Amino acid sequence: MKPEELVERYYDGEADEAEAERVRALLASDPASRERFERLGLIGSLLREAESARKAPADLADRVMARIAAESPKVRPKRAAAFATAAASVLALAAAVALFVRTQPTPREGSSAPLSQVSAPGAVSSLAEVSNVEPGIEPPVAIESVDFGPTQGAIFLVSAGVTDTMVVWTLDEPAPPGSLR
Amino acid sequence: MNSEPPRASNQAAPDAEAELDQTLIERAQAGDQAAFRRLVERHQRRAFGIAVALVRDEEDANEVVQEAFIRVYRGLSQFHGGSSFFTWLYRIVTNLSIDVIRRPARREQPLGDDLERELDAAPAVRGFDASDPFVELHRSELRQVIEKALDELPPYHRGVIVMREIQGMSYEEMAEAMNVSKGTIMSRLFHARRKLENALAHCKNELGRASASRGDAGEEGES
Repeated sequence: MKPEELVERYYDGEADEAEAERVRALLASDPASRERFERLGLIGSLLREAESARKAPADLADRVMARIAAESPKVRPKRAAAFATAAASVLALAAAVALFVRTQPTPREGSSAPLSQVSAPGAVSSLAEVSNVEPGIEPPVAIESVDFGPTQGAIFLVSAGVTDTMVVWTLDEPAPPGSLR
Repeated sequence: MNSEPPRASNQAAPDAEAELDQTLIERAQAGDQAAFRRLVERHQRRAFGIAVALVRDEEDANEVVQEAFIRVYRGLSQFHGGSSFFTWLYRIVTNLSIDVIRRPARREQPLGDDLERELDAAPAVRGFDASDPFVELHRSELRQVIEKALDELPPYHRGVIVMREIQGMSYEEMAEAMNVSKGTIMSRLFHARRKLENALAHCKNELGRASASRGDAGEEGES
């Protein structure tokens, strides 16, 4: 590294201890290096003097906060609308399910009739098996069929102690033509 | 002669300042807009100084800084304190300023690094000493000369000078803010300072000549 670059690193407080030692020796012995070091200091102080008169616009923080406030309401309605749409979809689906759920005759003792009959084929069936009741426990209702519209789906109950939770499961993609609904 | 160098900001900035920033960021992340406002107020002057240094127009700089704070606000959830808040902010300010400089209507001068080769051949400045009484006598003129010379620097060179000399940023902080290596920062600083030194030397020569000329005229008048 050239001496003048070293002096600059030292001036900037970036020299390591070995470099600093070299620069101190240089400043003590070399008038040109010493002059440059002082000149760097002069330039820095002149720049800071010139800059001290500059101020950020007085209303900058107000403007930033106003823009933030103006953006926030735009976000909220979008989220609210998305939430409302999702909630409406769930309610509509629940209503559709309710229409197709009917009370079933009590199964014969010892039978293991499924709590739900899944109308969708394939992988859905395996999910539905989760909802099979344990032998000897009488299910209150059974689902005979569910109209999922153009999509595929399944519905089953998950038991947790004394409560059962109805789970509605659907595919995002429409069912292929001719598949069960 | 005072041979103690100024300390780079990563050493000089009190930890308490960084801690206060972090506290304000956490509060802002939790939705406290008053905390975010305090962050803006704490950093707006320095951010504005860098933006002005880069774009050389206060209106543009105002827009840049506002937009930078808006982006900081939007990105608050992604900020985990890996780097200091102001380095993050300055990086955004720098990028936005460069966008402004690169607008077709603003391409009055190159950004800077492509000018360095020609400066490598420039001789070192001689004959200007801060302890010279001349400096105190002509301080206001010298300040104007430095301001003018700063204005004439290409934006990248202005940026590093302002970040280092006015904002007190370390090489590492500047490198992070400008998204370049420390070597590039050192090179930009070196060449920018050389230009400012040359401007000062030129000013001294001019003032010296003017002073000699006035002296000559006075002697002639007296005779």
